[in-house]
Amino acid sequence: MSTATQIALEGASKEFVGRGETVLALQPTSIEIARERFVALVGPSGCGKSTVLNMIAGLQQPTSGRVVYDGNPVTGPNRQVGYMTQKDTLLPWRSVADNIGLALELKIRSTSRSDRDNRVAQMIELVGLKGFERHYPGELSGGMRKRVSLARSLIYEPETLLMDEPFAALDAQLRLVMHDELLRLTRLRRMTVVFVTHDLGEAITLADLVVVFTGRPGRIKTLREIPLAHPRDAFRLRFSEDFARLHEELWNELKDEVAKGTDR
Amino acid sequence: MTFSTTRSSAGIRADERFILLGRVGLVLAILLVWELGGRLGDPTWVSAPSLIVLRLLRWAGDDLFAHVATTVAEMAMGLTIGVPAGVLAGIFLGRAPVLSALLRPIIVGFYSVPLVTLAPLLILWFGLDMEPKVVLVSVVVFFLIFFNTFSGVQAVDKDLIASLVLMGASPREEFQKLILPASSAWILSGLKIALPYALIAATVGEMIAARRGLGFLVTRSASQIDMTGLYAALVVLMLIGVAVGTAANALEGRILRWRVSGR
Repeated sequence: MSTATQIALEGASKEFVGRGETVLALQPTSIEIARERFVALVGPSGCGKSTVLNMIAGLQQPTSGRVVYDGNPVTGPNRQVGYMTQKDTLLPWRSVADNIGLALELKIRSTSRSDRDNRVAQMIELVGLKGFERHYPGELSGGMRKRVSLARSLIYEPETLLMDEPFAALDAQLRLVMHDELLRLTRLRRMTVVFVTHDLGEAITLADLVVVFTGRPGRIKTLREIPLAHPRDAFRLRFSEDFARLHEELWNELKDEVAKGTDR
Repeated sequence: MTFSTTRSSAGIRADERFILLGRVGLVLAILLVWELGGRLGDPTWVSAPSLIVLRLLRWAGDDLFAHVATTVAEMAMGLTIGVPAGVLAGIFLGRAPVLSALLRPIIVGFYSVPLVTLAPLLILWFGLDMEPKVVLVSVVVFFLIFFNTFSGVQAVDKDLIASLVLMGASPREEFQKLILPASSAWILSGLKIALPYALIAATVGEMIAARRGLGFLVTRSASQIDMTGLYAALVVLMLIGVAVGTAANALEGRILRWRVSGR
């Protein structure tokens, strides 16, 4: 394993036991993810993409093999990562501003009140929630809640960001805006990102490396480098020839798996 | 966000005024029928509002407030013991799955006894004064608060816990910033149920054996076939019950702003 490797799966597999049956969700999988890379995981539903994120976060343990982070095996909650799950995990009794500032209140990164307020205000501006600081999550639309979650994950600048279909609930225009912001911020702060999505276009727009998974039980089918230059413009990129070519190539890989998934 | 104010605010105000006037009218009508019934019939059995008011005035000059103070003090002391004990036990057992599984049959068995029926036992143990009633209120309140707190702690979303742990929260911060506020809604709804039960427990205890208190007034009047006194005591209990219920609602509304305003 080279020193540039941030995250490594070493033959990691995952079985789940439900109703007395053992279901293999992820076949033994190995992959190395280098520091500061943006990696997108795509594949049909139930192919174990989210399981990979959970294992990197240390919330689930592999059935066989292991997950290594920064040279150390992950055996418990991995505090180097920020995890934006599919479900939003905002605290309903906290306002937008207090939700976003949550991580900065914790002792491990003790932050002065004024510093915290400044950074929260910046973040709120960034994700376009100005004027909603004092609203509670229950008063916001699904898209706005996603933006709060994103701001909450970004504000404490975790080394690695794990994202599980973070923008699936957003409308198409807003999603493009968020893509631009995410690219800008994660590059600026030199974060490693592992991003799960159903949307091939989203994967190509954002990632340096796209990983295509097969249907359940999932395994890696293809790794594809995305050689598009940075900075990328999420909106314009979609009309470029390179984008179309990559999209077709990856779609050819993915479509058999999706078709297999729908047969059942 | 709602924009659905289709009716003018003046129209709504007129509606509210109609309902308010209607309520006052209805109560007056009931009192009038009662008064007529009492005067035309036999006041020994139905009494009459005017007689009750006169009785309350006479009692007020005598020892009514001592009785009220006794009942309220029993409630207050019982709540002071039962609420914190219930919250602490609920949080502790809610976070200790093995111990709570171990204790479950005992707790459920204990709670399955209608708790007010403990009153005679407690009176035999603690005598005729306030102590047995305070203990009874404490026990009733404890269980109601305990079960709500326990459920609240168990119901905290596992994903929220995971997200806080990944953010780097210590167990203590996890408790302060998540477990406690997340279960506060449950604790409050427990408190809302417990307040009227505290009144029930105190008065039932007094009805069985006491020298003072509103429950004692009820049984004393009943044993003398003094309907006016019985109704007068019930009126006072009703007023206390309304006050307690209003206080519980106000408390809930104040603390759970985030829930009331959303969805």
